[in-house]
Amino acid sequence: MTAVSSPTTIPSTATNTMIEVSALTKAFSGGTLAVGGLDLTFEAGGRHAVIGPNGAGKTTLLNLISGELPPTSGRIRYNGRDVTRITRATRSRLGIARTFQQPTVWSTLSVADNIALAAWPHSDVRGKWRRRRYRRLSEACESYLETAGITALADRPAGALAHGERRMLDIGMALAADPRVLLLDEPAAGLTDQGVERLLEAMRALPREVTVVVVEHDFAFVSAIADTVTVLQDGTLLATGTPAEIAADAAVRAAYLGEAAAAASEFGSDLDVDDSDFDTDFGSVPGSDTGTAKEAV
Amino acid sequence: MLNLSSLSAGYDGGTVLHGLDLEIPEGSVHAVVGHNGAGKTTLIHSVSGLVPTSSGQVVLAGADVTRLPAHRRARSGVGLVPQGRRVFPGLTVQEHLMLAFGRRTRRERATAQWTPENVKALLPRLAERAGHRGRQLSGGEQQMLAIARALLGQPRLLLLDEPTEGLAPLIVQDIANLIRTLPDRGLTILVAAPRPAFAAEVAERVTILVAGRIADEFSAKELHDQPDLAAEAMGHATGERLAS
Amino acid sequence: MSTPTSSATSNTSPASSPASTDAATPAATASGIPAVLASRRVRIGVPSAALAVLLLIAPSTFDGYGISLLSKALALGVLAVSVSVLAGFAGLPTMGQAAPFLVGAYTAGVLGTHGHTIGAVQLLCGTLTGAGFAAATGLVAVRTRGVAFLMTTLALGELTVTAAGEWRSLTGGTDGLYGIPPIQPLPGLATLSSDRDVYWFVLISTVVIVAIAWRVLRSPVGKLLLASRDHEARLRSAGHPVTRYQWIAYTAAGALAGFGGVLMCTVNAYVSPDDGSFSNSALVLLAVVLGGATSPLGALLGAGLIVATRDWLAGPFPGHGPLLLGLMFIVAVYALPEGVAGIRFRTPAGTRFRMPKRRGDPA
Repeated sequence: MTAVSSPTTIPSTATNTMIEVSALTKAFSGGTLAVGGLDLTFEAGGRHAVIGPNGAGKTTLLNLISGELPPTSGRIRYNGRDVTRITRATRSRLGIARTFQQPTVWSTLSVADNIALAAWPHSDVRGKWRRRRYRRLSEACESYLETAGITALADRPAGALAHGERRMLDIGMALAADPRVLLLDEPAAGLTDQGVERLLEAMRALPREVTVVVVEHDFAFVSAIADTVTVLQDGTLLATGTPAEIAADAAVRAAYLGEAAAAASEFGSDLDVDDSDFDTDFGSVPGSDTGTAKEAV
Repeated sequence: MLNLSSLSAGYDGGTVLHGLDLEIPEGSVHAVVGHNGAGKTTLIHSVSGLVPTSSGQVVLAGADVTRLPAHRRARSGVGLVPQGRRVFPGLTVQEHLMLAFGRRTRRERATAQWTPENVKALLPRLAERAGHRGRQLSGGEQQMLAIARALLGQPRLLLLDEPTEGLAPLIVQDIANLIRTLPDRGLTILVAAPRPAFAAEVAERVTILVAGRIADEFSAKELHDQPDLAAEAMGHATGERLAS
Repeated sequence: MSTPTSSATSNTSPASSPASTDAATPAATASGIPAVLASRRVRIGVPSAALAVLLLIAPSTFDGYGISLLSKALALGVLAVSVSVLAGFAGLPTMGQAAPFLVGAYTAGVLGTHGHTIGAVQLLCGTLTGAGFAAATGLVAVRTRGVAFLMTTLALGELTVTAAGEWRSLTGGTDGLYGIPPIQPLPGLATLSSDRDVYWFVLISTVVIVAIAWRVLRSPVGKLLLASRDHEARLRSAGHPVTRYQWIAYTAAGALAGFGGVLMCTVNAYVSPDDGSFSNSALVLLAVVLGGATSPLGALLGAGLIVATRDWLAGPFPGHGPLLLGLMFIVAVYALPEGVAGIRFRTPAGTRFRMPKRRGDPA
């Protein structure tokens, strides 16, 4: 394991630590240790990537932080507060939002409703169970539809969405919660190169105060967006550092990156392009009229 | 091996694919690349029979299978590795393999090209995990299991829908290598993928799909020499159902 | 039987997607039926109109027995609507709604035998006691899911029936309360003396309560319930207090059931523990399955169909009511595969989105 100095190894007496896990362990039935004695910190406002081979415990880590799973032992601190025993609904209301590896949506409700319900517990509009107030909430959520690029699908039942569209809806739902911490589980999976660029745009547009923790396999994406990279393997920490440091790390290359991906990132990411190259008005869809009312993958 | 002529297909109330013509010679690897909503999965499902064809033909090894239901097509040699892997969480790896293989008659089993043993020989990681349940496998292992399961159906044409989604770069390499070796075992392959780079790595020819129509087709070499060709063909997100 | 789906189902049955969008419908649906017949207006409007006509001409065309049967069907219909709130909207199929129904019926009976014969008061009290009963039992029930919930509600139902049988001083024990005096709907109105008078009272009350329920279910409240049915875990992750929602839904369903119980007491002028029996709970669950899980109108029609089959058609075949019911259930489910919206039972991972067989699965 390489010792790489980075902000994340500084003891968390720093007041700008947003998430801290201490001695965090999660064992599944049969004794498999998904996560074993992890000590990690994620600085506020940072863009943190978590990478590692499949089965390294990345998604389990996100599940522990968001509260989907209770830890076997250890502690989780959010903004200085011990949330280990707090339910996921409460953690969500405290400002932690996430997306899922297999996006789950409320299939019989429309896409617009999915976003509105995701925003619901976090908006201060009172009495949202009333139709008029709910409509106000829905209207306020339209911008999230645009950011996720699914405005055209607003009235579609969410269950009828293609896999990739459902992924974007999942992201839209997380953003709609206006979170302080955003946990993203492989958001770029299945996206085309242009899709990844659009995702990067959306992430760059996030307020700087929002702390982002991204689990991802696309190392070009990671290099483009992350301040710090944490590498997990078999439930423990393998390395941590900046993207460049990690790409150069021999242990990481052997266990996870392989030579091709590491090489690609060494020569600079193709995705580090100027913002002005892109039309950031996500509402306009040039040339999308193909003459059919519905299309699905 | 596979011949699609003027294929149109879609779900109730909407057409996704419009008059596709595609030809895949036996023993080759062919990739389809496009955005979400462009029709990659619909194309794969039209070939496997899960999506009905509204017009056009699907011809498999010279036989018109357009009206054949999915399970018959599977018997005729169409194997599907679906998007998202669809592994049974409660069954062990071995049980998955036995389930996929065991429904054949004794004689079929004796003469089968793919058996649980040689599939495990092909995928040693899977062999190590034979007793693990589906939910205990990592993403890459699940993907390998899904491929193994499809192979045990003794396919002649193997369809893979985004087989490397969500997999670590190292595993992506393993899967790519695996796909490249399958034609040596007599298989024809059709892969759907979002990234032209991966497609060019595994396939000999790459078709670009935009809004349910074929925008262009390139050889892997062409894409290798000029990586921007595919991006241009896909356009700056034109035609896709998602906004900009 | 045409497919009675209320507009609440337009979100939940995208299988009939051409009609579920308000945009121009295609010239013909996939099954070849002219689109105008498949449009939402027609699908809901025609059965509703037919039902309304039937209900309005009934008093003049049916005899006393038929009228009282229709009144019973309406009372059971309200109970069926309460089941659809839980089973269809909240995703909690239940075997125990006859319990708050019984509580409401006894409330009316006890009030009646003690001289409080204003219909509106009985309805109000029955609704409150039904709600209170559900609120208390819901604290236990709502902690369970799926089969466990089914068993818990079943057990609560049976316990209630047994308690009613034991508590002779209040309920008259297993003999029940009889000789309950007829009611006046409101102070100043005449007492309901004939079957027809009772019928109108029951009809108006049913229409009012079902309209209220329907409005609430169509509002954002209904969306919360549907979301908890579709994927409870995701709703929790989004920050919603899902257990609280389910408890509220359970209490509201109890209120509805209590209301229906009061109506039943008014129709029969008699209450016994049998009104809360398991067979009533099972029958209304059946009614909801027949009519469409998220359709109050469907629940009413389902209840009507069950009463019609069991008590009316079975007239010529005494003792074979249950057989006829079973046959009808089989026929209805096979004959209306797309019409019946279907109850979506929860699975541990949340319910899978269902599409008709012909559709490929992009999920």
